[in-house]
Amino acid sequence: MPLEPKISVNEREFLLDALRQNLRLSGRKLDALRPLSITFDPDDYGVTEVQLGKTRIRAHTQTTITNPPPSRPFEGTLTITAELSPLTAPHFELARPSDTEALLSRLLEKSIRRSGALPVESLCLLAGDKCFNLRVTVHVLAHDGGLPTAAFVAVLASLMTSRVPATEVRGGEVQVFTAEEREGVRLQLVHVPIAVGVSVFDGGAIGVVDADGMEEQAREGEVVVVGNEVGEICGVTKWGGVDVGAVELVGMVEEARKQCEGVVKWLKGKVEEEEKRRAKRDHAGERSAENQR
Amino acid sequence: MIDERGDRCPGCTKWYWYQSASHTFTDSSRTQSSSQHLHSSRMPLDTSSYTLSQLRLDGRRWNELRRIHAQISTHAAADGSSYLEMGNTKVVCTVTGPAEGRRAGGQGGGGDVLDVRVEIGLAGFSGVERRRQVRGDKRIFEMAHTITESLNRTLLTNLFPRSTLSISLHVLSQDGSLLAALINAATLACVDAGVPMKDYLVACTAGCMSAGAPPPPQVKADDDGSNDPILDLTALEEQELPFLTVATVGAEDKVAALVIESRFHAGRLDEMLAVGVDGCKRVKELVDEVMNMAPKSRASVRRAQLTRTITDAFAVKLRDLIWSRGATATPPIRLALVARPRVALHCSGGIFRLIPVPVGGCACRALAVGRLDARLKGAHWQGFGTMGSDGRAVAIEGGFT
Amino acid sequence: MAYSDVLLPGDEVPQEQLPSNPKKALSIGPGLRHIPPSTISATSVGALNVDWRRNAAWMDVNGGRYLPSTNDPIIVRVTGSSGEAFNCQITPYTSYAALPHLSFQDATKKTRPQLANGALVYARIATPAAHLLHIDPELTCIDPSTGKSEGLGPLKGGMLFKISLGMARRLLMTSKRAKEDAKIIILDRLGEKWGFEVAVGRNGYLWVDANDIQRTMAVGRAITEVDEQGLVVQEQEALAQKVLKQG
Repeated sequence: MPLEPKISVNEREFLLDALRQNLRLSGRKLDALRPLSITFDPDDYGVTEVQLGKTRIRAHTQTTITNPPPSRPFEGTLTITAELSPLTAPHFELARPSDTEALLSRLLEKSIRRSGALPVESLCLLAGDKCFNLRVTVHVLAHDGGLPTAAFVAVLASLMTSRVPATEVRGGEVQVFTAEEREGVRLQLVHVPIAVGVSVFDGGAIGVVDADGMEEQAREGEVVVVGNEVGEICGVTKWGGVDVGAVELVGMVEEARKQCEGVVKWLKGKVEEEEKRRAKRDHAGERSAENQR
Repeated sequence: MIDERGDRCPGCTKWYWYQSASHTFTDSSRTQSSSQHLHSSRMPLDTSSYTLSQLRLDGRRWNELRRIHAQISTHAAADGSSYLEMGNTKVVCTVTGPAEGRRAGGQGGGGDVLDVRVEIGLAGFSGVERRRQVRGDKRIFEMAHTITESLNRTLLTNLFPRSTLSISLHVLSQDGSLLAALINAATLACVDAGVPMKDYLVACTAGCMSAGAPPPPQVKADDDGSNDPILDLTALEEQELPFLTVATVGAEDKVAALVIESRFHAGRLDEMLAVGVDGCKRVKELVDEVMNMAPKSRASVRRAQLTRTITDAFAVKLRDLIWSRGATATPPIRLALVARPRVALHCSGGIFRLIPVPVGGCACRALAVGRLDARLKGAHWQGFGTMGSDGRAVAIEGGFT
Repeated sequence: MAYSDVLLPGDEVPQEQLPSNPKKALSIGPGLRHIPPSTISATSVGALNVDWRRNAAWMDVNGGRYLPSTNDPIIVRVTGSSGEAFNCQITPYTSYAALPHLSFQDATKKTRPQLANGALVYARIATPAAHLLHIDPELTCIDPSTGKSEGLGPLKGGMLFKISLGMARRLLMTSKRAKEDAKIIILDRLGEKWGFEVAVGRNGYLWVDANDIQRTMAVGRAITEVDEQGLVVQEQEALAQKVLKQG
């Protein structure tokens, strides 16, 4: 098993000394995110690729129709899985899920599902009989830190642009229409949770937003904050690490949450742009006088 | 109405009499409970008159812990063990090590620091429904990860290179605050095993009665208190209310771990965290009490051993340090027992205070703070020693500041 | 020596681009293949390099993993110590190279440097890996001809930057003639105004120490920018002016 390469003492000390002078290797400010960009698959719904600095993540939403679990007959299901494979870095193996992968999956699932961003009741078609099963797969294509932020943006963008097939219930039977028969239906999200991480350095004295790969290796702890556009916290995780004073911690959480709001705003704008572009393209054919015959 | 006799100290069995019972629970105590609270060491005084609507389902008030019962050295086979109850949440912890590392893949545990491994077993009968533990459950994995990462920074892992510490936790009964109970049990067992640590790692949960709305800018006097933060949630409360689990190092406001899995308005965070951190302080007091109640014979023997071993070791270490500072002759170093368990360490021209901190049956720590004489430029020396469970191993850390 | 064309694997090298010294046999280096009777074709993608004086031709490949070869100066990270040598990592995900404890200048068993895990060392490859014999590469910090360190040894402080292999090779061209070909002037321009130390590892690392965090960063960033954007001499000149102005 190839081991993850570690950074040298020189780099670690240099990074810390620089942070003490409010400098980052990338030239960013301590509270600045790296530039985010997003691309939507032009031919498919719900396929997005997000780039945050050098980190790249692709998310894909698939919809199937299944039977709801007997314990929750009025709900559909939403599962989110993250995958880090050797194409991310050689030390990630397919056969053995890494800690990073398990923690990322868990973070996505608990913050999006438990915060009720997508009401699972809306995925129910016929109580106790038929429901939609949404499955979001997250592939990390390149890992240079900031996985939570990139993954949340990718998953939410994927959910916001995906379509579930149009259905009709007639006499206890569910009729499902293909995309050709009837246009699919957009998912209605209640709110948009986005994660931003604050990395802690220097015994809890310095907080750095959106650490890159090298900073992640040198840091002493991390606080991942999931926030949405209406000023709510949807989750905070500090899995141990160096201890931070409670007052400073509240400050870090607030700082990260504000960043989340900014990202949500940006993301919503991008999604609307994409939807408009799609609508224009899809209806262009209907309006034109020519046909294929 | 609660008992007229006075107030029961949350979490322990003592009764306190409060002076004033005239005012109900109003703004003054409420504002204190928010952000200022982070700095105050005690919770605001409660009044004794409560309406029923202000009590929680199990009869507790907003800032009351459930009964905590704990014991250490419960399992003879382990190097350290503990049993902890927080209300109806019951966990057992056993600790093996620090021992020679064993790592999968034949790497031989070769890290520079102690490798802390945490395993959590959920008994099938621990929840409401009988359920077998699924392998690779991510929720359990995350809890284990949180405990590992928190302990990594609390235990003095640099003293044990190439070693492994296996912490095995078993959940017997679940009724809310599970992660907090696991952390507290792990701390107790580590102390019992004599693993040196900076301070206790203690945890508890805090919740909030209203999720969506931002906290009111000014609390009205007729507020019925239904928007209060609450401490130490049960399973039922966890299902209904937003809550957080917080772990702190010692009785200060140093947050080692914070886990929030619910949605609430950001303005609520500081009051919830304040209540949680304060709860941790009280958990720490209770844990201290548990340590003092540990089997007398064993504890007192260990403490006597500590006084001898640690002071001796400190003396040797100090002598080395003084030599290394360019002294030409060894200054006489005398150890004197001032008052148990306090020991003073004298060396010519300078005085050191050596404060052994008994932390239970087998592990002890000591902190030496003092200054050397003018010849050595008044250097302050701070040190920190620990005795292992065998009563011999002493690790001393320290240096001139 | 001159850069000429970019070739793809399988491309035939035009005869007129090959050196034709009648006195010497043509020697071909990495990336080229001789197909008898007289065809030379490329086996890897890159730029063709020729040396008319030595009658040699080879391919410059800027990419891929660094392959150790004798006498290359490299920057390695110490990952541990076993018996008589430090284990060092040359590139990520490859097996370790051995750096014997006594291969430092004036090192004896008592005076050998104590290197912690994660320390950086500027070393030279004494023997490259012999894969068939399962022998890892061996490193040294002594020049065998003089017995002195000649600038090799542990690197203290400073910062490490990742650069491409081609850039590392260009930076290491020190003779006057080669330097003109390398077309790297940024270091000289910055060095005229600032004092800083630089160590270039053939394995794609650059170590910079200017005794000042901001300057160290500025030098490192300037080199990475030249590398990533392929700046030509004039652009480097402008960049140097800009960097010096800011710092």
